[in-house]
Amino acid sequence: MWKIETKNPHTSGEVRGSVFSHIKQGMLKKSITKESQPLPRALIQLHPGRSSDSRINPPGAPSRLPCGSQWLGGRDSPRLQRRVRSRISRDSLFSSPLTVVQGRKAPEFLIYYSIEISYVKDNFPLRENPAIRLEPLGFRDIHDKSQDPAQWTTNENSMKNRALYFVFILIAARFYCGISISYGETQSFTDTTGCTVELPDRPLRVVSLAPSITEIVFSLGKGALLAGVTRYSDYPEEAKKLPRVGSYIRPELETIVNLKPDLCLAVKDGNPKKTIQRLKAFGIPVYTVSPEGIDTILRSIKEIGGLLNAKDEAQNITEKMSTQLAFIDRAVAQAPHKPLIFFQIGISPIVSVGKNTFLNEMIQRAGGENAVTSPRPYPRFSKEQVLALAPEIIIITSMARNDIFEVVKKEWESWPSLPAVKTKRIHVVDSDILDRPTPRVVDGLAMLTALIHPTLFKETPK
Amino acid sequence: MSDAHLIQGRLVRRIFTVTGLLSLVLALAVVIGLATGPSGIDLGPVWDLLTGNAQADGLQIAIIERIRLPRVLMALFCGAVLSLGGLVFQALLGNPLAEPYILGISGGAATGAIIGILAGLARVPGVSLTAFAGSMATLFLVLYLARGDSRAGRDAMLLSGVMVNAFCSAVIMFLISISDENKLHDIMFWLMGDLSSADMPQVGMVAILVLPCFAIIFLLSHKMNLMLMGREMARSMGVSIRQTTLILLIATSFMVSAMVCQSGLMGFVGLVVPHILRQIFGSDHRVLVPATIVGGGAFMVICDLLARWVPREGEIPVGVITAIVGAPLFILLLKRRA
Amino acid sequence: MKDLPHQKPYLAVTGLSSGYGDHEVLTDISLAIDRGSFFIIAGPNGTGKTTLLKCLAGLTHPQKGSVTLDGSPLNSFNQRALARRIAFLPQSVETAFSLTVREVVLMGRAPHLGMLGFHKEKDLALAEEAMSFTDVLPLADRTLDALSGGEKQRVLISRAVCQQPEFILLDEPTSALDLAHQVRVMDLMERLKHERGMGVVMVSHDLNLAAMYADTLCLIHQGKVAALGTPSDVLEKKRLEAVYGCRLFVEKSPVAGTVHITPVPARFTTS
Repeated sequence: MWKIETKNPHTSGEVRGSVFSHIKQGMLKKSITKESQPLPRALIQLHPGRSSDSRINPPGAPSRLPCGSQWLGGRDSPRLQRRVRSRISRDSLFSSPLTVVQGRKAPEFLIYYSIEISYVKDNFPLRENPAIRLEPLGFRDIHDKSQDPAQWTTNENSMKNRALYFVFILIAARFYCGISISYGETQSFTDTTGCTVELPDRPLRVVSLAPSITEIVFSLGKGALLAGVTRYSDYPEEAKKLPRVGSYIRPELETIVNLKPDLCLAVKDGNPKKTIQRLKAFGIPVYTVSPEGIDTILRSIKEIGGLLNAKDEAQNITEKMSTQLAFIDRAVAQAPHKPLIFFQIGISPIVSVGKNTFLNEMIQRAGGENAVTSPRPYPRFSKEQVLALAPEIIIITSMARNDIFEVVKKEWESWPSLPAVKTKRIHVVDSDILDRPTPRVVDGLAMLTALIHPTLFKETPK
Repeated sequence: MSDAHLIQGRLVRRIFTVTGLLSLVLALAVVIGLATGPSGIDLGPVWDLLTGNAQADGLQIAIIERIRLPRVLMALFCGAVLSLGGLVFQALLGNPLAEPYILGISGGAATGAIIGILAGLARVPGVSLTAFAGSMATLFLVLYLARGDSRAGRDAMLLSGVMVNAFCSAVIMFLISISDENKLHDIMFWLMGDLSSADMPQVGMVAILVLPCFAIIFLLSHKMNLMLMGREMARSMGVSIRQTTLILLIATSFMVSAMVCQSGLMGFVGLVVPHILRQIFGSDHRVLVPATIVGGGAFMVICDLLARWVPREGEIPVGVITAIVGAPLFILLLKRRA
Repeated sequence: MKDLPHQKPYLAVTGLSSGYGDHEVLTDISLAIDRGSFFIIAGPNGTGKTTLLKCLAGLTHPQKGSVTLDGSPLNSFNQRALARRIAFLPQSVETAFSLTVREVVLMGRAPHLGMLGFHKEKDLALAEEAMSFTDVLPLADRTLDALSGGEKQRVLISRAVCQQPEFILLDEPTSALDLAHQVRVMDLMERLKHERGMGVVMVSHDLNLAAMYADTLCLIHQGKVAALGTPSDVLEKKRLEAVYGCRLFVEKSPVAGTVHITPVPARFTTS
């Protein structure tokens, strides 16, 4: 197998590569023009071989293509094929006596390429475009009925016409240029930050830049598209096996670029803006969502569903969530009293949640009143201040460190003057389903509501 | 006389030999730095890039050129600036323990930078300017507190630097305690020193700001030699102390603050590198200044390399590495000296 | 001074007052020092001897009056031009960095060289010569901090010699040295005066050495010139006892025929 690469496809069209290392371009041109005989017609067929995921390959694709390529060129994507052909025919570089079949006449040769295209930006210099990689697999006589790629010859000696062989490679090189500017099957989306993002119509390699996004993608049934996730993406179980690309606060640029994603899903708050800008500079489209509140979670799920061709799944999930939310809202509306709640997310020092936080919204939606009214998101408290707030319920979030939290609970219980202690309403809850803006948040809300208003539900919401 | 002749030729040659030798070390460090990625060290793509191999893997080349190269260059400048800063302050104060960090210059720049970050300014030029303002404010405060030509002035300067630094730390802690979560992470990582977000425009800007300072300091290197003999002696040998000190201090704090607001705080570099180089090459600053620039660069590139390479997943802030490598080495050197 | 042909005063002080802040250390001092003479400034501690020396070196600017070199005030010279004519040796030189003797001596060439101090053949020769003059050539490649006090002082003098000044100003160069080294340093100064025609200005506590070497002795008391003249004129018993505030025994030295002074311990003062 040999590789071909052009140095600057837009200007010189100089062909380089191991095959050509001993042939000067001028010689090649000469040999083409000298050939007065009509040149054979050829059809170029693409095998965008990228994903090793067998589920993506449709049945009927040649089984022995390297790296389990997707059989996309022939049938799967007629649009792409059409585009490629017209590009070639228009291209002035075929002013040489070479004509390339456009499908009307039966081709005499097939040139097979394994091509890696994740996403290609218009006029983006090839050399810097990490998304394109083209490897000619060989070419064969159309009359050769052998479907076995192993039989496709790459052996120069078996060529009928040596010159022809190079012509094809020349085509390949030109084709390579052509494709780099023509493959533009993209759709425009505008994300929550107001950025217009050009996305491939079928993203195949998605990198999620937050645990919540990973969860949303899995909930949409598109977990197989994920090429990388951030640290702490621990739900569902499958997510733990995916490659890590740093934490969501500090994503590692190099690791992400190395994964060659055709889509990155970012969150507005948390992911550093600079990293996102640099990803975009690498030609990797980044779509930013901002799941900050319950309503925006629903919106984010729909947005991601739209990007990943999972509109129906997104619709299902959000409808189900809306139903559950409506159920909770109705129940909470009947509650006679909104208890004062102190929500403790840090032990030493005592840290709670202020206004304008997701957890504050959760408390209110669950029919409680946040005892903390600070405008700062995560204010610190002394014990004395908490006693002064006189919360009716204390909720402590745990991150699998139950022992410590039980100790903290005991400590609060030594202050019997606290209303929450009198009524024995100190609870320890799992933080993940409460503070992660994912579809599971409805379960968290239900749990929280049940804690705050234990009498409201005759049955747990479904 | 023949011996003398040998020595005369030696000085210029020595500058070139020492710098050349260290440049080799630096080049090696840079190549390894470029080859080090999350999945280990791979020299292949770097070789392809250097030889202009057209068959190279475009993605790897792009990663090296656009992610690792700016990072390595930033580390290089960072090491060079902080080491040279240390060297200059040590010569000015006649104290091998002096360093921008100890004198409060870094602390002032950090305070300024954090105020800039909290005010939501852009790294360039917003935060850079607040950092420079902070470092200049501390510099002039230190200079004001330690006025006078006397020898006591040198110690006073060091002491007031320590005080200013303590004050800056307190201000930083205060700012951290009132800042919200999102920015806090940013600041904490930055305080420990961080090179991972460097890109080419940043490196270019740092180079433009820092290279003239290198030149200025090299031109004053012989005067720094004379100042090792004490301020009065230096003056009696024709050095205008006030002017030279001022130029050196401004150039140094300018480049340090330009660097600090890009890379964050990193300690011990300014102590360790000049100290080691002085042990090896002697105290002639005409040799030491270029040697420190190159050697400091190499030191930091290696530290950054370790920061990326050591942890199995993710990376350590490079400031942690410089402290872990630097502090014990420094103690060892001090002990041996005593 | 009598033996030397009279020259016009080179280094002259007129009406000099100097001090730190409000505290005046020197008041209305006038004196003149010829090139090629040995001038010693003596006096009790804290009377402003060092301040006077620094004023002469141009390191401290007078508050009133002026110091002139060859008729022009010192502050009209730039630092380098002044350094080519006046060399200065502070009381103590401590450096935390190890410099070799040769490096230190070569530093003396700094005011004669360019900004980066790249020396030429001539400068090296001068340094060698200066080192052999003060007999430190064998130490050339040792570092300064590895030397004894006497060796270090000779290295520093060698550096001043290498500076090729017209005047060499020293602040108590012999105070930390043993007797042999004291004499050695003083002899060196005398040779500088005779062989190179340099003016040597020295602050010294040792009146006996001063009496043997100085051409002119200046006794400073409470910031003023208490006496100025040849050692034998200045070193009068009564004057010295008034200035130093203690009993002294004065005799004639059998060696040089000069005045020899012995301070009298308290337990002998009644006798």
